[in-house]
Amino acid sequence: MIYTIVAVIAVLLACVTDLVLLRTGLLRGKTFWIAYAIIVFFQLLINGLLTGIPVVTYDEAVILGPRLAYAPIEDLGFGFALVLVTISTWVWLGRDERSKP
Amino acid sequence: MAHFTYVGILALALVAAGWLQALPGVEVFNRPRRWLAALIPSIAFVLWDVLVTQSGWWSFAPAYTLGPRLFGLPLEEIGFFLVIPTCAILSFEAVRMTLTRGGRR
Repeated sequence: MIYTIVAVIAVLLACVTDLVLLRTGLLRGKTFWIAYAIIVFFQLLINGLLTGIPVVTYDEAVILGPRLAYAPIEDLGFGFALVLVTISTWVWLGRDERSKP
Repeated sequence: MAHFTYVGILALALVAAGWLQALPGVEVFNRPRRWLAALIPSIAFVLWDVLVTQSGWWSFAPAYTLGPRLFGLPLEEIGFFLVIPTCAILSFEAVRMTLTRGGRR
């Protein structure tokens, strides 16, 4: 369950990034959660294809075992971390935006 | 054709989210510096992916990828960390603009 542990750490680091490092506070607002609900639906679809076909195969020793739409549940944690860190960085970069690219 | 499977799945994701750019107020592709800078954290995920792929946590089917690899990762896997975060940003911006337009924040 090493991937499980790493996935949990990734989630925690992403939360720290949003709430402490960049202070974007996405987790406290509804915009992120509504977007995440939509994103997670597509994640289950896309990742379901990748893990179900399978394009990617996991070593059973690194995962806990439970799967959702073919994908190890750890992927939910990793996906959440990737999405939160990305959106947090995007929002943080837009803080000073007037009309610069 | 099967070798295009992973690329095809990424294309599917782009199609599912790419059109959001056309919504009023969604400005991602036309903010290329901000968009690409927001993808920088993905580098950490890619580096991690290189390490754990090497360690055998997961593996990629040669049958469903095109073949070329970089540090052991199929190019498609690197593409994944460009496409998926982009889709996430587009989704977030679309939700944000929809909520803002509705007069609520």
